[in-house]
Amino acid sequence: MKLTFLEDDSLFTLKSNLNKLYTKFASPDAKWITEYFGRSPFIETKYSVEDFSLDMSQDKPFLTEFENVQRVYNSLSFLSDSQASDERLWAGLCLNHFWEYTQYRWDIVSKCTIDSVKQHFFFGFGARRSLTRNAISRLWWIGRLTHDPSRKDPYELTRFVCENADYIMHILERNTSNSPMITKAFLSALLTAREEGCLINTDTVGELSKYLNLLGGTYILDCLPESKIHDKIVEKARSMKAS
Amino acid sequence: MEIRHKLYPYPVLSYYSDDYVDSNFDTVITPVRDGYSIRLDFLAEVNNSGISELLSSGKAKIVYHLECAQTGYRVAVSTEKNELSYGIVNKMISGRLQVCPFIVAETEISEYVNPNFHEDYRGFKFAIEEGCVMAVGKQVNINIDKDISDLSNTPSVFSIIKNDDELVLGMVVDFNYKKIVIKLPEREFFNFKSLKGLPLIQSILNSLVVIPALTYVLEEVSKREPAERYEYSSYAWYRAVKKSLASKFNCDIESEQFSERNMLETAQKLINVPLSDALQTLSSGYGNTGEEEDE
Repeated sequence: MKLTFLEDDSLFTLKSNLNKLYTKFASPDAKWITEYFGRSPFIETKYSVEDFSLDMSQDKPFLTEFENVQRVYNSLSFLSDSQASDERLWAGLCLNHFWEYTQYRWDIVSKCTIDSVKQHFFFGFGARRSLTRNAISRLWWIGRLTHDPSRKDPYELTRFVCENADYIMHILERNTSNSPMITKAFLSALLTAREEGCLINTDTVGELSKYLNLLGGTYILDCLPESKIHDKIVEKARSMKAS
Repeated sequence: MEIRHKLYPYPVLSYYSDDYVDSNFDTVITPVRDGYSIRLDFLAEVNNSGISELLSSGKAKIVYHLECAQTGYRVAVSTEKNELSYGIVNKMISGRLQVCPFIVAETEISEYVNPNFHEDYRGFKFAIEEGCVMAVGKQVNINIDKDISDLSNTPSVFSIIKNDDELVLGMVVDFNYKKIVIKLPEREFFNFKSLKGLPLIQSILNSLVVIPALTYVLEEVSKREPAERYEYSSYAWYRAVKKSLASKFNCDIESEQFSERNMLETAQKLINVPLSDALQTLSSGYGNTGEEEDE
């Protein structure tokens, strides 16, 4: 398929008229968009990718996250970070090729609200948070931040963050996630801690994320070796277990 | 990363604290366009003999922390030298790049003392761990304007769109987007659309629609404190207006000088004062007159 994006004016028109249009996002298909504008608002990029679809087989859509991260990231890993931060690209994919997936993943048909449409079809927050809330950019960015080709299983860290939606929020929506080195050190520390018998769940991951943030106030984390960040997090996890 | 005026459990050399006396750490950071890359030229001045010794012995390094919130780009560039150039590929960054200079311990310094400590700290020794901040410089925010857009080119900073809310009868302006979005009621939008392709009508449309919208936006910007206005710099319209004000009027949008300007007059000048041509066009029954272009 040819990768398309949504032109600027159409993006602004849809977003700023959501109070009138949001119920249309529960429609079975996206034909209304072309009818609304009287033409297709999508513009082709220079990129062609092999057709790919997303898994929608589970009753609980979050259970498809890991599989779909791999599908999206394997197909679109050539995008630069700058391109992958462009709302027009992801909104274009959600409103075109992945209309049905976006509805399925975020239960848009039964929970069709302005906020829900805005954050999952478009960018509804600030730059960083929007990337992990838009239905498709979320999949790409989870891949971008956790895929580690130096591991035996390059998607080992991805599998871990996809165990729980809160892990994605705690780990990937913080500024420290902008550094793949820090993110990988943190995630591998969580895996080590779990192997050692520490309880790793939403609460402990949240606590350890806060601790990482605290460390960032004392050290320039980017200047520390990956092993040192790893060790500090494991040490903290052990002390939490002991207490 | 944003530099905050925070306190550390040991003395830190910074422009906002007096932990050290007769000392300073200053940097000059200059962005230079270099083909498809951006080059940053760093120049640092360290005026403290104890910290200079740590730098020359490799126990500390000057670190420039670069972060672009929009793309998630985050890199720490470290050097022991006062001068350094660093290249960033254009596609890695977009919008605002934050550059925060520090001096950071490269190794553990167990009994740290400095002859220029403030007298409150004299006689104390501090344990500094690897990666700890020893000096903080002034943060610089660089706006990355791309001539080459990632996916398409954007010719204008205005986007004129339809407002589906039939209860709204006038123009609505929203500048929390990368362009200044002007929403017109449906009938007005389609009238505008049918006219915008006619070159002779541009000055009339600019006078009717663009000038009031731009005046409103400039006034809203001027209501913010000068130091807070950079928060708009992630928007392309802001960077374009800023550049235009600087090049055409020698005016910094992030200064008091801008706040004192007459915004109606400024908006007209930025759009090349379309009023005269607009009235001329109308009075001559759409005769031949000059053309205007959107800013």
